Amino acid sequence: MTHPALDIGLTHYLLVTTTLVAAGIATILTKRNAIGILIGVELVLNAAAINLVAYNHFAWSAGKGGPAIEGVMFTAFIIVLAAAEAAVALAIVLNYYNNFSSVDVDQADSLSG
Amino acid sequence: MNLASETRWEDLWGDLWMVMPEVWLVVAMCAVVLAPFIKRRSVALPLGVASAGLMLAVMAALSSFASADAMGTVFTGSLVIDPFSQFFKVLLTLFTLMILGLWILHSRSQTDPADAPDFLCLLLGAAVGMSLMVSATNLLVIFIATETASMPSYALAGFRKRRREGSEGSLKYVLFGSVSSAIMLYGMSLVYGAAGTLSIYGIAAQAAAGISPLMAIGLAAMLAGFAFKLSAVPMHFWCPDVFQGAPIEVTTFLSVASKGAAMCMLLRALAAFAAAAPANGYLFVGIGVAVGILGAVTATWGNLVALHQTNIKRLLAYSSISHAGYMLMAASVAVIAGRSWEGGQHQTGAIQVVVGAVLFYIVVYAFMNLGAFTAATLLAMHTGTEDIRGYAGLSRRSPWLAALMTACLLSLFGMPGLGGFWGKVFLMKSMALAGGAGFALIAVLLFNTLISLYYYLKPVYYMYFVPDEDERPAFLPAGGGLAMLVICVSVLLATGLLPNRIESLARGYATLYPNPVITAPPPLETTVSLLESAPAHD
Repeated sequence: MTHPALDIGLTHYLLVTTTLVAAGIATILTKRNAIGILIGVELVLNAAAINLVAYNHFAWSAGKGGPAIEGVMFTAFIIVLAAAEAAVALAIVLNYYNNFSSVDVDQADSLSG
Repeated sequence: MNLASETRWEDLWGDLWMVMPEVWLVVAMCAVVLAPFIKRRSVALPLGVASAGLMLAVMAALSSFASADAMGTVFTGSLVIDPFSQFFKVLLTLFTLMILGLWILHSRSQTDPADAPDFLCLLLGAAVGMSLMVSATNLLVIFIATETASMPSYALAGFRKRRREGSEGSLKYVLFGSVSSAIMLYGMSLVYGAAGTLSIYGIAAQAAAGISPLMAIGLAAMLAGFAFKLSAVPMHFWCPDVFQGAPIEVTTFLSVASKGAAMCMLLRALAAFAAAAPANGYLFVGIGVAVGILGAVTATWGNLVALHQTNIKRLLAYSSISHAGYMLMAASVAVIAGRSWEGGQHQTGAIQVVVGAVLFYIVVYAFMNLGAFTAATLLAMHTGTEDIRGYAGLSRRSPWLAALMTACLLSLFGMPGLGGFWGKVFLMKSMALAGGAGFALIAVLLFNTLISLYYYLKPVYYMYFVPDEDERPAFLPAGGGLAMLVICVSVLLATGLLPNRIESLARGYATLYPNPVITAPPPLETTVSLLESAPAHD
């Protein structure tokens, strides 16, 4: 018989993802480096992915005619789309670096008003 | 969506015939990238392939009106093909064709021929995403479609790699965009946790039974993602910078197609919620009021900041923010008036009136914005400036261009006799359905229209009343551009003079696929206790 606190359930996963989201949003808000902001975005994306898998497994695994896999399927797409988004974003950051020799978003103020 | 039910391959093949517009766009997108293998450094070949693909998509979308069999749900209910979606797809593909025209006019000579297929591929990719957005009825498809529309747009915004403004604009776009899509995705995961389904109809049915804090937070986070695509305040910061930095044809594409698609997607979700609303569902009115306030703030903010703009692209960017605000205000009525104020009877007709008004507005807005941007392009090519002070004396130098641009700007303001006026009238008519809240919205709309008169008349003032001090010579703008302008203005005149016919046409297309009967999964007991033991989310 294990200790109840070691019995991993939905709550534990939700605690992890809430921490991840908080860390991600804090990173997005405080980082001035464009790459740093993208890392924060990845944290939020992964929090959502873990949420979906956890909810699917613990709360909504029983479908009408068999196991429901919507959350798991969604997560597979998130993994692919996160990679695609990172590729596009890094290409744009690289191009920005070529033009400005910096990836500091605070310096990106030539367009304003 | 029930994946476990028997899905036969024959059914999936049959479904493929119903999404032919998207299929043609995808085929064209792939063919365009392969074109250089057939003929290197040719612009005509990929351009021809892209136009052919777009025209086939237009025809495929049009042909789905021919039979009732072509409408319905496809791919186990994750996409809906209804007159509303097909109407928007026709408009979107025709609009993309005109964007190709604008590109030939403005950027073709400045683009390396080797880059032309890339540009066309990105443009078609964004169009695929946008046409999927209007059909999506499932959170997964909504997310994929939004990303498919967004990622090419990021790259398009910075397509001229050597331009410093372009790369700065696209950096801001991609950072704002990825942050807001991540937040939207997190919201979706919470909504899935609360509702146990990804279908918007299922979620609406669950929400009708009671909105838990978990679902409320999730829906709010999702609304933030929609607000980004619509550039609604406070997610609007990217919009003027991207619009100023991007090539002008990309700016036009983003200002109309991207916002229109996001608007249609939001309308479909709101209509699903309105149709599922219980008789005493005041929480649903809360959703409508939230969208309405978002729209009112967006319209007012966009107009106030537009007042002191001197760059025409920035001015039109803020103007597009305020137009998105007007449409949001009307969209909120779909939920508020979806149930009448007395008796709790559903007014399904109200939803159709709202959707018809917004569709009409999108059509008119597409043409008046396209016209204004085409005129700005022609002017930028001849005067070399995007500053409206450079328009001085234009009425002497190029009277036709000045007159046509004035018509587009006055239509954006809402001058009687032009389409923009009737667009606003129909929006106000639909707002009136919502009773007291609706009249508040109408007051906001009228107030905003008054403010906007100042900045729409500013370029007109320079064109007609400020003499040109440099005595620059007269010029005749490029024929193709002038032809596009004439098309836009004649559409505006047609909608301005025959508003009722075209509005009833739009309302005919405003038929949304009805909410299917949902057998929502009963909330599991364990789930409820687990959700309640997670206070960190509330």
